[in-house]
Formats: sequence, structure tokens, C-alpha cells
Amino acid sequence: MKRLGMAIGAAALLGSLLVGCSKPAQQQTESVTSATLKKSSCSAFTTQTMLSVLKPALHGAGWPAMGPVRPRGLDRFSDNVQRCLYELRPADQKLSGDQRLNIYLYNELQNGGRLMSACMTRPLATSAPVRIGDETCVDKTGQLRFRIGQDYVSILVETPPRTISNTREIAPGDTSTFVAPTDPAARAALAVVVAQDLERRWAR
Amino acid sequence: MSDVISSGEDMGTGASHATSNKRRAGRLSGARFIGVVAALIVAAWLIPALCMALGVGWLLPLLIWTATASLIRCGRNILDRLVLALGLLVGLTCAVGLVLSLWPVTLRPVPSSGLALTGLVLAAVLAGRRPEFPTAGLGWPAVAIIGGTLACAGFAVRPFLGQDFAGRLSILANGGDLARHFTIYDTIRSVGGFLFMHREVPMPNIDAGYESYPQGSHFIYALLANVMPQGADRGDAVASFGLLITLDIGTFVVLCLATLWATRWVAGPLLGDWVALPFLAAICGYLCFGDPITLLTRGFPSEMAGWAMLAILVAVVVRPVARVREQIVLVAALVVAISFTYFLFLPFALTAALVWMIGARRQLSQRWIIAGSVVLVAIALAAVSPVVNTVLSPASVGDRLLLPGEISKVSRQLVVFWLLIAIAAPVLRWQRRSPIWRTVVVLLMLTTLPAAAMFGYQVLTGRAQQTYYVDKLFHEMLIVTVVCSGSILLILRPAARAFAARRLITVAYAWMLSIALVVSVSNLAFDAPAGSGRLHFQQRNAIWEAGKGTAKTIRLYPKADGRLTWVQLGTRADLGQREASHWATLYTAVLQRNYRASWSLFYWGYPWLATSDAEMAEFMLTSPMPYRVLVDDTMSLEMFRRIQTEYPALDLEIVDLRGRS
Repeated sequence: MKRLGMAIGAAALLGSLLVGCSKPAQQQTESVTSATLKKSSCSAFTTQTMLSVLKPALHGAGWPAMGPVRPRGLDRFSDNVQRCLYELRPADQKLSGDQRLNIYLYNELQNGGRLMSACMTRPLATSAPVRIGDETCVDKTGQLRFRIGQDYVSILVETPPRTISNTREIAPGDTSTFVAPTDPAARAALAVVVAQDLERRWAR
Repeated sequence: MSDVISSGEDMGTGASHATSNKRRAGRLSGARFIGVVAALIVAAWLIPALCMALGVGWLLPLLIWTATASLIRCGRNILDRLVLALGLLVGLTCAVGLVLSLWPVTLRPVPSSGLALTGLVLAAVLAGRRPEFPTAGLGWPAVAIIGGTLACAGFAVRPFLGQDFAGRLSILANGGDLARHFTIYDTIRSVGGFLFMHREVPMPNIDAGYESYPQGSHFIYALLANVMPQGADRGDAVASFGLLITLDIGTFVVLCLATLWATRWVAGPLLGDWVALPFLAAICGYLCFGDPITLLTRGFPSEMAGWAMLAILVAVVVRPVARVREQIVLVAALVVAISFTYFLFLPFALTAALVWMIGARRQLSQRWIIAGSVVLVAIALAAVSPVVNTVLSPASVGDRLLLPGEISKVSRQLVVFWLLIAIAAPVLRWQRRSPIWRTVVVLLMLTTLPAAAMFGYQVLTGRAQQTYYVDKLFHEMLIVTVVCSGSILLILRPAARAFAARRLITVAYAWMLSIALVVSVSNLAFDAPAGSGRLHFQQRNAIWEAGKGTAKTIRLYPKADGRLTWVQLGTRADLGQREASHWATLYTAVLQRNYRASWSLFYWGYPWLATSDAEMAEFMLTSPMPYRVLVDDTMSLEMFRRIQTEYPALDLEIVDLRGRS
């Protein structure tokens, strides 16, 4: 009987471990407002939760498994706009040639009207139709802008050039490491995923 | 040795002066006495008017300081009285400032100085005293203090010699704190009093929350600037900033004087002869090459003033002056001064004052009316800054205590070194029951505990490398330990006496010790942040392009005109390491008296952040105010033009200064 108990206990422990490992990425549940982002511009995501949100889309686009460069984003602050920069790199990191991925999240508060108008004059033609919040636009550079109520938010996904020793750029034709698609629409597609997560949590 | 361990001021002149004064005052007949007093009061108003008319208004603060020193009766020589009078005046000026701030004379020199001199006449009448100075010679210790102060002053001033405004600004530009101190001091000059008492007045140069910053030193700077010929035109922001730089350097000199004097006062007879020379020379080494010089180079005038006041307070708490009533008033004035200048030191100052009161409880109980009254008034006045800061400030005290920020990090080893120097002898001599050295031990514990607790908390939370105020608390520890460091002579002097028969050896030994101390405490050997005195002396911490850029811009755009000015001179806009243009932008904003609208530019434009076209566009197009950018390099110019072309709705004025000197 004692052995049976121990076996059941061990099985339960193993099971819980397996469940823990195979559990899908946790959805972000914390609500977000422009005010909370103004107070702490990187509070919407940690780099890890940003990665969790993007993981399926990155996998679908053929990206290698990615990991965070640092646990938290890098913020930049002003009264009219705040920024958080999340940096990702291949989990199987090499000394040179890694294709990094940067995600910029701009909290434009109620000040993004002019940027939205400028975007509307030159939208990205190849972008798939997308609707986030009350107004949405994908710029020709692939930068996604949306408005929820009075609040404007913008997301820019950037694929910086691959480099050798952090300085010399690798030619685009060099396929020894993963090469990110150059099409702005591909980057916009990643931005949309982030924006949809934000929209879901945005407290109007 | 009994004089070394006895309590109380060892240098007092006794009560005989006051008695003789009263006797002499009593000799005047009633009518004649009233006539003399009336004449003095008239003179108290005529002299300021005359000085201002002759363009020598700078004499007035010196006159008030000297007159105050001439009316107090503690200390053995004129230097003691001048230093004690300085502490007294700072506290009193802050207190009277609450009234002056309501008086609609907007801190004009004649009424302010007239009021001060009238107050001194009335104080003399009430106390039955005539102006007088002790005739005792200065002696070696005073010579060492004066010589050391002059050496420190020379050290601090030397890099500024021959520099124009741009050059002087460049030397103090790094860190930008001086810019925000300027906004407070300059706005006090324009509104005519403490800012927290004029909240209804528009203050375009004051960032939100800064109205409640402790303003004692800024208030005194404003009074001093107003009597200077350069300060006659309060609308001239460059002249006002130039005066701030002068006053900032002057505050460092006061810090040095107060620290040297307080060290000598606490040590008493231990530093009563030629030993004072090498010992105080070592302290000078620390002041010029250690942490204190960073308060000048990083632009912390409030803390420098607070340091000076705390040094004097520690001195009179450890070794009180001979007259209890003067001691009560002095301690009260110093506590108020610390509260108004740098109230982070206030908890320690209050506990230090309490330590003295407990020690002097019998004397105080005999004068409980005056003691009680002064304590109540002092507590009420000392509460002003903390209350204003907690009730009226948007940030909580806890948030601010854990504020990350830029400060020259205090060497932890250095703190321990000074602590060991100060505490070793009093602990080893504890059994002698000396009130003086036991007070030293208590004060050292009182200053060490909060710093150690906060440091421990930050180590546990992984923030030991980041925070700002823990280093400020280490500064407080350094003040107390340096001022009490003379105690080491309790051990060293007997050792030195062993060499007394061979005086040459004694002198050599003392100098070797002082040189070892200087090297140990000053980081002289390398360019660590704590040793930035060497960088200062060699002008290597100056950011010349920042001063030049500011001066050039302010000549072109001296006032705020509806556009925010971005000074992009000397560096590239898209790259990091934009220190010169970053600081020039900040100093231009405060000189245009437009900091409240411009602060975003300061934080967004942190010099280590690279900026892409997209990010620049994000910032400029979300701004509620239009920008003007001054550029002198082609890459930056092209960047701004690209953005302008991309976003025709952007209201941006680009001023191309390429090739223009």
C-alpha cells in the first residue's frame, strides 16, 4: 500500500511537470491603458511575454526559436510619447550573423493624430486588411498605428542588419544564418499580433 | 588630558564680556540711549541704500555677517565667531524668508538688508551688547583653517579663471543638476520669495513638483544675487546664471571652511597647536580630491549648504558653546538651516540636537521657558520643508528615497575608513567617561544605522548599484566622521609625544601621516568618480561644446518664443554620445526660462540613446509645441530634412549653422 501511494505520488509529480512543460504560452491578462504605459512604458509586456505572444507568428514565418536579449524592455520617456523597445535574438545564439528582431511599442497618448493622418496618406498597399481599435493604419514602412478611443498606439517591428562582430554588415545574399523577409508587410503582420493582444487588454 | 575629555566649549570667553557690555550700555542715559538706537536704525536703512547707489551692494552681506559675529559671545577668536554667525544667519535667513516671501518688496536689496541690520540693532539692544571681537590671537589651528580654506578655494576656482560664461558653464555642465537649481533660484528672484508660497504665480521655468524642493540655499542665493551689480537686471538670465556659478563655488568654499573649522572644534585641544597643520591639510586633501568636490562638479549646491550646516551642528553638539542660551539658539538655527537647505539630513540633525538636549537637560531645565519656546519655534520651522515636500509634492517620500539617479558613487571602503578613524579612539577610551567622546560615538551610530539599513535593503533587493539617496546618506556619514576624525589623535598624540624629544622626527611623522591620509581618502592616484577633483583641476570634466552651444543659441534665441529649442551642435542627431548637444539643449531651455515646456526634450534626448528617423518623427509629431533645431553637421541636417519632407504637417524650423562660428 505504501509503495502504491509512493507510485501515485511520483506519477502525479511527473504528470504535473509534464503539464507544466507542455502548457501553451500564458496569455497576458493584465489590462493596459495609456496612463499605465505613461507611468511605466514597458509595463504592457516583459520581453518574455512579448516573445510568448509572437511565438506562433514567428514560427509560422519560419523564424528560428528566439529568446530575449534582456528581461525587460528599454524605455524612452517624454510627456507626449513613451517608447518601449523589446529586443529578441535567436535562442541558438551565434557570435556573428544572428538575425535580431526589435519591437518598438509607442504610447502616443492623445497626441498621435498627425502621425495617423500622415499614415493614411501613404498606407502600405501590400498589407493584409486589418482592423484594430477604432482606427488602424499600416505605414509604408510597415509601422502599425491604431487608435482606441482617444488613445493612439504604434508598433514598429524592425529587423536590424545582421552583422559580424557587431560592426560589419553581412550581405543579404549570405544565407548561412536566417535571413528575415525584407517585405514591410511581413513585419507588419508581426506588429498586428502584438496589437491584437494589446487591444484585447486595453481598458477603455 | 583632562581638558581633552572635559565637556563644554574649551574656548569660551566667559560671561565677563556681556556683563561689561551691559554695564557700558547702562551708562548711557535713557534719552541718549534712545537717540543712539534711533540713529543706528536709520543707519541700518541708509547704509544699504548708499551701498546700492555706489554699486557696492556686495558689501552688505559681509557687513551683516560681520555684525552678527560681533554680537555673539561664544568662541575664542574671530574665526569661531564668524563660522558660528554663518550658521546662525543661514537658519535665521531661511526662517525670516517665510515673512520676506509675503512682503511685496520682491527681495529688493535695500528693504532686505535694512530689515536684517535693523534686526541686528534690536538684538543688540535686547541682549545689551555692543559689537566686539575677541582680541585673542588666531594661533596655529585658525591659521590652518584659514590657509586650508584658501587652498580649497584656489583649487575650486582655478579652472574657472580666464573663462567666459560659456567656459564656466562647460565646467559644471555635466549632470545637468545645476540647470534645475537655476530654475528654482532664478524663479525665486522673479516671484520674490519661496516658490511654495507663490503657487498662484505662473512659473514657466519650474518643472512640476520642484516648487516644493527645499529652497533655503536658493533663497539665500537670490538675496545675494540681488545685491550684486551683475544681478541688477533680473531679466538677464545669463547674468543670473553667471552669478549662480559664482555662488555655487562660494558654497563649496563655505563647505570647506565649515568642515575644517568643525573638525578643529570637535578635536579641541587635541588640535590646539601645530599638529593642526598636517591634520587639517589631510582634511583639505579629502575636500578637494574626495567626495565633497563632486558636489561642486555635479551641481549640488543644496547639499553643499546642508553639508556645511551639518558640520557646524555636529561640532556644537559634540562640544557645546559655553553659554547655554546661545547654544540653544545656535542648535535651533542650524536645524532650521538644514531643514531648508537639505532635509535629507534633517532626521540626523534632529536626533543630534536631541542628544545634546539630553546631555544638557539640567542646564536647560533652569531655562525651560526660553528652551521650550525656541524648541517649539524650531520644530515648527524645521517642519516646513518636509511638510511642503510630502503634502504638496506629487511623488511619495518612499519613491524618492529609492530613486535611481546619477551621483558620483561613494566608495564604500572610504566610508568604512573614515568611520574607523573617527570611532576607534572614542571606543577605546570609553572607560574615561568623557561626554565629548561618548557623544561622538552616539552620533556616529546615529548616522551609520540609517545608511547601513538602506544599503542593506538595497543589496537584498538587488538595487545596490542604482539608487541615489543611499549615497547621499553615505555623504551624511562622511560629514560626521570627517568632523569627528580628530578623535584619532587621542591615540596618536601619545605616540607622537614619544618622539617629542626629537622634534624633527615628530614633524616628519606627522607629515607622513597626513600624506598617507590624503592618498587614502582622496583617490588621488586614479580618476575614479570619487576623485573627480583631479579632473576638475585639470579641466578634464568640462564639456566645452555644451557651453559653446548654449552661448551660441542663447545669443540667437534669448527668450522663449513659442518654439522649443533643440540644440544639435557639436554631435550627430542620430547617434549616441550626444552629451554636448544634450546639455546645451537643457541649459538653453532654462536660460530661455522655458524648462516646464521643454523637459520632455531633456528626458527623450538622453545622450546615450541613438535615434532613428522613425523615432525622431514619433517624438516631434506628438509634441504639442513646435520645435526649432539648430544643427551644424550635414548628417543631422539631412536627417531633419528627411523627416520634414516625409511629414509635411510637421512644424519644424531648421537653423543651419554649418560653417558659422
